[in-house]
Amino acid sequence: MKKKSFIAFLLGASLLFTPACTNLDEDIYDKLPAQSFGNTEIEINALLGTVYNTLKNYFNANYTALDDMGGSMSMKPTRKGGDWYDGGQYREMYMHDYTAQTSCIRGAWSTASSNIGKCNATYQVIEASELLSEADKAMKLAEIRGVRAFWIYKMMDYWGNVPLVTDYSDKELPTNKPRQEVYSWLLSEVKDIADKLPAREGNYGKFTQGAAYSLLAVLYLNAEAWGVTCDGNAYQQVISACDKVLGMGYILEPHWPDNFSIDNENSQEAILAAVYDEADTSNTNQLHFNTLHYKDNIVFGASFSAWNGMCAQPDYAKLYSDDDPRFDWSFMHGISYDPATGEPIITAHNFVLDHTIDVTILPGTERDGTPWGDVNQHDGVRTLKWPYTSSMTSAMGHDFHIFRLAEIYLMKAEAIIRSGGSGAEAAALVNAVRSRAFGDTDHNYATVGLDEIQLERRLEFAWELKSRQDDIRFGCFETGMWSASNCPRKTGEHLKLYPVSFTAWQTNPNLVQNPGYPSFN
Amino acid sequence: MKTKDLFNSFLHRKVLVLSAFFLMCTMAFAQQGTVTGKVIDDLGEPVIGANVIVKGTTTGVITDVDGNFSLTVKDLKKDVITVSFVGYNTVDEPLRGRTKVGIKLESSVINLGEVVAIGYGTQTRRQITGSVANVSEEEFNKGLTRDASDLLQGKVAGLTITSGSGDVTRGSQIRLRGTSTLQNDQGPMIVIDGVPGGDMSTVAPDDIEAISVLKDASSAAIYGSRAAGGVILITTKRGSGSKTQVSYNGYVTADVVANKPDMLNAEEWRDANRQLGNDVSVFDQYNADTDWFGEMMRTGISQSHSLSLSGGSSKSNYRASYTFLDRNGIARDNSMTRHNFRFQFQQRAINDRLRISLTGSASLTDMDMPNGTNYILAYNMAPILPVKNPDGTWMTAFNAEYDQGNPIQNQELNYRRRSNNYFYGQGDVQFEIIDGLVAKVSLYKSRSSSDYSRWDDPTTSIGLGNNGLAQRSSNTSNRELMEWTLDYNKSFGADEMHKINGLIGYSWENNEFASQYAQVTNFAVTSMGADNLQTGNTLKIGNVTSGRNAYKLISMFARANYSYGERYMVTATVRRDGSSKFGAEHKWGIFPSVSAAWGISQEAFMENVDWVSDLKLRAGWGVTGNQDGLTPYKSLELYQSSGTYFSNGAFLTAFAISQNANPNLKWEETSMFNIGLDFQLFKGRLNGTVEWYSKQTKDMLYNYSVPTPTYVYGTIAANVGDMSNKGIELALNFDAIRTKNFRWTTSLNLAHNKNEITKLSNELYSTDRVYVGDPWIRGASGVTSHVVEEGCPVGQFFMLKCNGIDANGKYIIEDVNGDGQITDDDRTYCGDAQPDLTFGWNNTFSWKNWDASFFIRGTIGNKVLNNPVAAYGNNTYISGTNAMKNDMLLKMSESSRVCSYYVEDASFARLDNMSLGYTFNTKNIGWLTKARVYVAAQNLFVITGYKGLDPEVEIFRGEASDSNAGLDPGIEPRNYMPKARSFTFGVNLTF
Repeated sequence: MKKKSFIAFLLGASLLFTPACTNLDEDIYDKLPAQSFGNTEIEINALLGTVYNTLKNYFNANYTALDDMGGSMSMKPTRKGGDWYDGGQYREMYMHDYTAQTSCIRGAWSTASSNIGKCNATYQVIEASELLSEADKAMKLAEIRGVRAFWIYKMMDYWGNVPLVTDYSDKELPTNKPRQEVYSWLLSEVKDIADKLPAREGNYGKFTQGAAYSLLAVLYLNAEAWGVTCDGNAYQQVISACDKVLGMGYILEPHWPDNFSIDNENSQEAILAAVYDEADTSNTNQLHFNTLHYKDNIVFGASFSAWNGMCAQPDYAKLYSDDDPRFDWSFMHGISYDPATGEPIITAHNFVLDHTIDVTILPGTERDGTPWGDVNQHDGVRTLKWPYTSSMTSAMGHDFHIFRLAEIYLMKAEAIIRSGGSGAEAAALVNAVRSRAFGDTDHNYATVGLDEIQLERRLEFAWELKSRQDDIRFGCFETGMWSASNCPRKTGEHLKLYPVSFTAWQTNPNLVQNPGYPSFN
Repeated sequence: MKTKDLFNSFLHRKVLVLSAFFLMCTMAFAQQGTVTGKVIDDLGEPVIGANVIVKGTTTGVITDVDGNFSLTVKDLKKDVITVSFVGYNTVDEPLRGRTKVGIKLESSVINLGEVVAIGYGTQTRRQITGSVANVSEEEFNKGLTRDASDLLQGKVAGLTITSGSGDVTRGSQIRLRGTSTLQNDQGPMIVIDGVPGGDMSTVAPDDIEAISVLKDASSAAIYGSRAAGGVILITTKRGSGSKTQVSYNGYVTADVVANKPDMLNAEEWRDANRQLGNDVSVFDQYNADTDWFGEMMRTGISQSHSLSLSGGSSKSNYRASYTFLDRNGIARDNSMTRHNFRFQFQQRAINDRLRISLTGSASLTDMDMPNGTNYILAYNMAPILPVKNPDGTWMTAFNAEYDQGNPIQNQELNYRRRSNNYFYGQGDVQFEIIDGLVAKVSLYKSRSSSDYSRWDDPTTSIGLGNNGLAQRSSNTSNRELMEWTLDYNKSFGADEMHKINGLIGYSWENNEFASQYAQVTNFAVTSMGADNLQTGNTLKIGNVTSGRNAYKLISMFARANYSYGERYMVTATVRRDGSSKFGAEHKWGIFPSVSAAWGISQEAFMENVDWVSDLKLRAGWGVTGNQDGLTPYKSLELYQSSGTYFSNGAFLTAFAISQNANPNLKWEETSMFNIGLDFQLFKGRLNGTVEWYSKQTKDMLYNYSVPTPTYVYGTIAANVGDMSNKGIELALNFDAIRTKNFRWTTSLNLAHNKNEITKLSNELYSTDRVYVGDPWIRGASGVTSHVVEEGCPVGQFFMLKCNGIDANGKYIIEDVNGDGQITDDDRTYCGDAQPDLTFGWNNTFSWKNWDASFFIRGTIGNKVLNNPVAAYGNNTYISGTNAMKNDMLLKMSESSRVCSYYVEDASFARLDNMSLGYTFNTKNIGWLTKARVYVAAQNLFVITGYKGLDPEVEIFRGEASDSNAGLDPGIEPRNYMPKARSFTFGVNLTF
């Protein structure tokens, strides 16, 4: 009797173990399961928005270091007290002493490769969508491929031999593909999408046809410097790509600063833009923090306090002739005054806040057995190209134009010269850019060679991430523009490729280090 | 189909079940009677005032001056009486029909008959087969205590409780037998009165009766999935016996600054600058000499009042309590006020077979949290700057300077306030179906919520950059828990030497979390602070957010225990746990354990070994799990909003994949093997435990690095690495002096643990080194201090190795790779932050009505990075700021850098607390049972070679939820709040 009732009790208790009591499905509240997203056009556009947002993290400190500090444009000197030594990474960038551990190279690899992953993931969703019309879908997929091609191009530019992963469902760990293979793929990819992309009108911020032909021009123009080949004459193809863009209705903005103003989305010169919003809190434009002195905000009546980082390499800033207005428009130089008192601002080191072109290493501060040492807080001219406003706090609303029409003019001019064309024909193109800047034709050239074109690119594109690529193409990569420092650059052909980051190799042992650097393992 | 069958069969048998119930209720023909007896000690002397109760009830009496008692019991055949007295082993005496019994108590420094909480049950110390440490009220730390961790600090070998900051709103960080996981190690799980997953702050120290620490996996495995970090069981006080009682405990504490950074004063500062040739006239025009740390600090006066009412009858008991704690820290902007309410009511019915308990608890806490940035400012402000201008306004001239600004103004005008509410209710219904078979259901519901306000005034250095910032955020956690257990106890054989115990259970738990957050900046009108967000002029995208998530945990568990006398004991448990957080195919895990003990002293051959009074050998093995580091939804591919994108002239919300989904996410498992020897020698004068354990964690959850592409993001939550902890522990208790009037008991515990990460890669994920730790001094952004690496312990320092300072005042950095340059490639191993040995030494004295104690604890062999000296022991910034005094200050010619020069040995011994109390003789006062006054002091001194503020630093400095929290222990950060030295006067009264 007792036993039976006990069994009955157990049976009753076992009722508890019905499926409802062992159900462990997740209830998802503040995120959206993959299968339930991307079912409306608005949702699809929101996914595409993420692809475009990747362009916003091109104009940041890591890529500035790789493009402008590894080149001859800018630098982050170590400030008295040690600010910006940061493990020596900026010394390594200027002196071309980079290693697989250099932190900005690591950051640049990881951002670029992660952005390619985001493009691939979005591509797969939109490709599978049955919601869009064929034409609409083709255009959106072409846009994604365009942004992805930009990132693969940048990785190929920096590291040469890089993984080429374009399928989100392919989970095989990739190996580095030779630069030639990546290059050829890029050419065919960009050519394939060029005419499927949106046209210029009403598509500011998009990867348009103009962006595709600009990218093609860059790819052909640098082929020789990169040591890669293409079908036909590369420079002729630069010219035809540039001509395509020139026929699309872009104009050189008559007033040069309009390209860089807070409302530069109105620029008729912009071809590919990273579009920033001052009210945003993710992927923001923080150029002001990176370059201005801790107290420079006072000059602009703004409340933020910057980090006193980047300044121009002195000899670069000295390239400008006295009457070139682009110097004042590009660089914050001289004494910073407090507008409230009219008095010069004094730094915490008891110096007048005077941004001199010259940057001087203080004797006895040399570090780690190199000539690199500390400089005074206020040394060096700073970025002023995108004018600061008093309302700025943590973000700048100015857009960054990755490609703008002036570069098309100068690329075409360069291709004409490099393909043995006429100096006068090229001069017309250079003069268009030059006369627009000066506001008169007094500074025009009758004829130009590569030297004039290189100089014009430097004067025009300060802070615009063109320097390293130009220096390699024009053969002056080993000459930094801080001659007074006596900090020599390391020499060697292998330095034209950055080393693959140690962290990237750690997660993917199939990666091989570039030649000339100590191999992994 | 199956379910339905079951249900039908249940319906058919319902009548049967009910009739069985009634049958059993009436079946008990108990033989009521009175039992008398005498209690004597091992010398034959009567024991006066011993507790005699009927086991399992609240019925009891106290022995008289001759050691005699008389007690009415319900069942002379079956009842057992339990006799206990401080300093003696508790004795359970089965009556077996007798009406007159003689009971002999054995004196003992540790009460081996004491009942100790284990998971889902209790055992006496003699019966325990796993590794369980029990600390009861008389052993708790004295003085000002906020929660159970303060009571327990240093008392248990292998349990490290770190309170690394003077911030009174910050809790302790707890580790049992080392760090056992990489991600977000939460330390041991807290179980309060049987409810797993509790929060220590919900129980006032005065409400705690005892704390058990389940140290090995064989004892903790019954809690399965969340027990990998060990388990701490908190048992609260219950209403006792048939007497009603009112208790009041109160104290007042004064906290003074124990130690503050040694900065230059105005004269020293001028002198240093003169020697360095700096012209400081532009700064030195205020005629001030400010001790900035001194200005930020105060003497904090705290008070606590605790009142409890308890009582009961033979059928019921109750206890209600209220504790008020007003805690004022040594920083001017740091305080905490807490109200704890708790009631428990328990009643029996149906011949005592039915027992229902209700518990309710509320904790209301208000906190003012200090802003760590102010400490950085205090290091940087030159001593010649004043706090206020001559006209009484704040000195703000340096508020815009990098890392500078008026910290006192920040303290006064800005705030970070948090109000926490924690409510829970618990109901237990327990029914004894037949003798020894008890079914129990326990239902629990809790809600905790937190409301946070932050205000940064635009005139202060912290608020300047945003022209004022106000933030409000709140979150709510809801939890429901249902547990069913069926417990069976049976003794049989001659003298009932064979005992079996079986337990099965089911547990269902649901957790939900919701949060919201809003922040605005740019304030023109500032007087309303964070109370009126709409005053702010700028609202940015992403500054208003909300979130909500949920997870479930379902478990089935069982335990079987067999013992023969107290000679052979074996226990086996198994728990099957399911968590919704894991991948669809990996939600369930099985966590088994087995342990055995041999009571050697009970063997016949030991009978004549006089000097051994007790000897027990234990061995156990078990597997436990962990899912602490894991937020819900990590196994799924999900989308979430991700910034804005520009389209046709407007910014719209973009959406992106939120994470790398890992459908293979599963339980992290920790297995532990433990051997222990418990001994009691010399007639109970010396008691001790020696233990050895080996703990192996595998499939460690962590955000491992993955390549992009193929992945979208650089890390993925996955099960990859392995970790090992091995150690030995020793605990000794010694009755050094025991006379009629004077008693001195001394206890020592020692623990050694060796931690090692044994694996970080598998066939899918490869990582052999992760750089962690961000000491962050100027010029060292992104320079790391630690590595997580195979073959190294957690807390491994890895940085440039400095062999001193040369004659020119430059660091002599070792060129480890010999390439003639110093780069990141020259970083190397520079010691680790985990101690080789931790120890605690407690002493208690009693003489007549006086009692006293002192307690010393410490560590040996751990390293700490003295980051303030690294940052400020240099003269590079001295002209506009300040510097710390040290021998190299004027000799340095190189800017500060993170290197091994600042990694110091941080072994220490701290006089953690001491107390002196006097208990009044209340025999002649009928209404007063007990009256005691005491004084106590905490953190009186520290003996250490460490040159920083305090050698005991927090294991992690940010929030416990940071995924790398705990991986860079051993840094004294710049934003470190000095610790306090506390002096307390208190009263205990019982009516």
